[in-house]
Amino acid sequence: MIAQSIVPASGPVDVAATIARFQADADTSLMPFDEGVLAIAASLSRRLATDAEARTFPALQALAFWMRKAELLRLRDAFRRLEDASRILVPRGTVFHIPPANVDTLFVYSWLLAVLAGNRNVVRLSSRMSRQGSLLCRMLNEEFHQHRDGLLARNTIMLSYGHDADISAALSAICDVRVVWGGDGTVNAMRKVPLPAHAVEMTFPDRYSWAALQVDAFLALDEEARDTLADQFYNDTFWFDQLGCSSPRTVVWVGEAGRGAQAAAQFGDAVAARIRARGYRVDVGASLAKRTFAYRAVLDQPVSRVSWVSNELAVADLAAMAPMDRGHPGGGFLFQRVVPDLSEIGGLLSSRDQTLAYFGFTPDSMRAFAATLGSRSFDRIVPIGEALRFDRYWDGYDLLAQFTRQVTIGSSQS
Amino acid sequence: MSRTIEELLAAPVFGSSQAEKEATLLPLLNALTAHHAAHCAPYDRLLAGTGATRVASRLADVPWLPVGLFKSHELVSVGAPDVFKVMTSSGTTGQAVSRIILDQRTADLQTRALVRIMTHVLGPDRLPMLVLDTKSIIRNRTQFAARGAGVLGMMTFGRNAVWALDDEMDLDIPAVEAFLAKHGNAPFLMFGFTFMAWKYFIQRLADRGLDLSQGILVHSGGWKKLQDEAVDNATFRARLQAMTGLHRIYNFYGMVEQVGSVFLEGDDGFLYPPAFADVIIRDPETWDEAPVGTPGVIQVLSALPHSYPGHSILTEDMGIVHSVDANTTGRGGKAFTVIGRAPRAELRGCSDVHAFAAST
Repeated sequence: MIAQSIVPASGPVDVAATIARFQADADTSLMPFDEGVLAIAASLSRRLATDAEARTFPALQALAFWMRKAELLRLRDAFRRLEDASRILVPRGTVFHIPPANVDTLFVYSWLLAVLAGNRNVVRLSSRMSRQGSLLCRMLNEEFHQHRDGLLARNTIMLSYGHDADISAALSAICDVRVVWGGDGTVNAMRKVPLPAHAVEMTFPDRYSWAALQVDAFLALDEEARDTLADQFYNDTFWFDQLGCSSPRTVVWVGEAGRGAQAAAQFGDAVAARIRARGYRVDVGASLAKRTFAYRAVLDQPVSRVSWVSNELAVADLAAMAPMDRGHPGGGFLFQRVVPDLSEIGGLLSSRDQTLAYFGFTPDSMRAFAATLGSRSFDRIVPIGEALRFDRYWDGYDLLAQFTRQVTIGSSQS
Repeated sequence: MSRTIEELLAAPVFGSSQAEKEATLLPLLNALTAHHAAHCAPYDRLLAGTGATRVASRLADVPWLPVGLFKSHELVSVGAPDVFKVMTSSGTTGQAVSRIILDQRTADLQTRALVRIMTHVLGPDRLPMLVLDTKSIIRNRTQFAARGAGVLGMMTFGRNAVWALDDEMDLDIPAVEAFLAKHGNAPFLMFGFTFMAWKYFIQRLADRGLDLSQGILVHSGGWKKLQDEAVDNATFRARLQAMTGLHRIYNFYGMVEQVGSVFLEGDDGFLYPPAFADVIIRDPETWDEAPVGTPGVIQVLSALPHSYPGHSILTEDMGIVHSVDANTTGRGGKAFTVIGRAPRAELRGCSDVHAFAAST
């Protein structure tokens, strides 16, 4: 079994030998929020924030911001509050991460939360790495090697391999937690690979996300505020070609129908202007896939009209809020509908729906809305502009808590 | 003056200028748009749902359907009793295939169209035929459905067919030499798929000194595999002529979604639309017609499809129009070449993108 090691060193490696060495090096005394780990994370954050090439990738800057020192200390304090006199949290052991093939920053979030919780980590990386993914790996390697005690290098392996079930099985056999990102296909494939009896698993299947905007609140915005909102929506939608699970695909306008149509048209133009300003393009293949998808949607879904605001932004008007199959081509395709009240979408939601990005609603009204949904959907309801902001709470899990074990300490009742 | 498709099929197949084409094809295509809108409810819904122009004022405005739609939907403009034949495209296992529904009339039009095009280069008589393939493709129909169907279709234009390759795909020299001894001194037909013809026939002729100077080679199937071997049309032609004296070589571009509307190579190496069809190259950013000399996505127009709304189709191929009405050897209209398949979508996101790509 040969895999390609990427971090902490690059080159082909024998998987069995790598696992043996990884276990021999086991440093099981690490506790959550170790000072050394915090220092390395903060240093990586600075590196990302200052490197000239990294600065050209907004998703890397968002990552750098998320893992800066002050933020990590806040995370530590929040984590400490989970503990009390009768309970401490300890690492689970080894976490095996299978990040999505192409949301190329996610593996760092998944890895870092597990490291912060004090775990040792095995990360399976895609062999089809983008420029920003490769840049991240290079920086991780530089960071690891600067810290001569080898604290992280000993406790982290990142490698890539093809669809080799034997390697997945060997890595699964040594883990205490398996984290499967990357959609239904990957989850179903990994479910066939056994885990140790005591191990736990978190799965992140394909998800679908929405945006909801309050019509009158939008129309009340001045031009500058509209552009800002359009820019935030652009970030939510186009950073990962609209294929990030959290990127909005259906936009619901809440208000009176005529004013809603007016708001939707203005918003479409504003978003198209931001797309132009940011220089976002789709290639021929993506454009053709989007056209084919649009025509199929007209036949198969309650779409009354598809319009191309630009080559990068197609908008399909829904004739009714009816169940939809949630397929999507990516690359700038929005379903939209004006409804008198947000409650109209409640009945359509399912476990596929993940994030609702909102504008013009109060957090209290969103809280009340979420409480009407029962178990149906939405793990995250966030303002527009924060749809892709990664958080320890994801898909309904508290990742930090999942990466630890709760040890309870009783006292005698006398 | 407007002409019927029957009149157009009786007219010279390659002579019309672009202006004549606009004048004769536009009313026929507009009538087909109206016919399909009236008889194919999903097509009517697509026109409404995409805000398409129902009566175009120029060929470039005739509404088109993406070719992928024929893989996911059965679009038909005739009632079930009138269905004569269902054509399916080639496709590797697991890939969706196009399903094209033909009535008797459309099938007849396709046959007559193909006869008009082929007799233009072959003459009126059925010629002795050398098939540049192996007979096993028609014995083993499930494995080579498309190749077998293509060869059988062309065999109607030949007689006394001889297969140039044996079951092991080796050049059957005795069979080829016997064929040439008998038929090599008068015009004869050769047909094969471009890649097969190159790899298993031309490459293996080596220095045998075969005289194919009386032959007429018709070949199709695309250049993608040959591009990997750095063989373009000019190389293909030059090598054949130098090795065998063969100079009448005609590549063609066509698809199952528009059978009969074949774009046949002229003596200058460019493809030309027949009288009842046209090609439009679209800029993949603006989707307007691309200027001459600029590559884009190929749209094909055909006045033949009556039983299904396939008279205007946006393909997933890239092409380029090199000139319009510039040919001096009797071919009018657009001279174009096919560059190859449009590259697959390269999007990021969660891994479902690959599942999506695989299902299209």
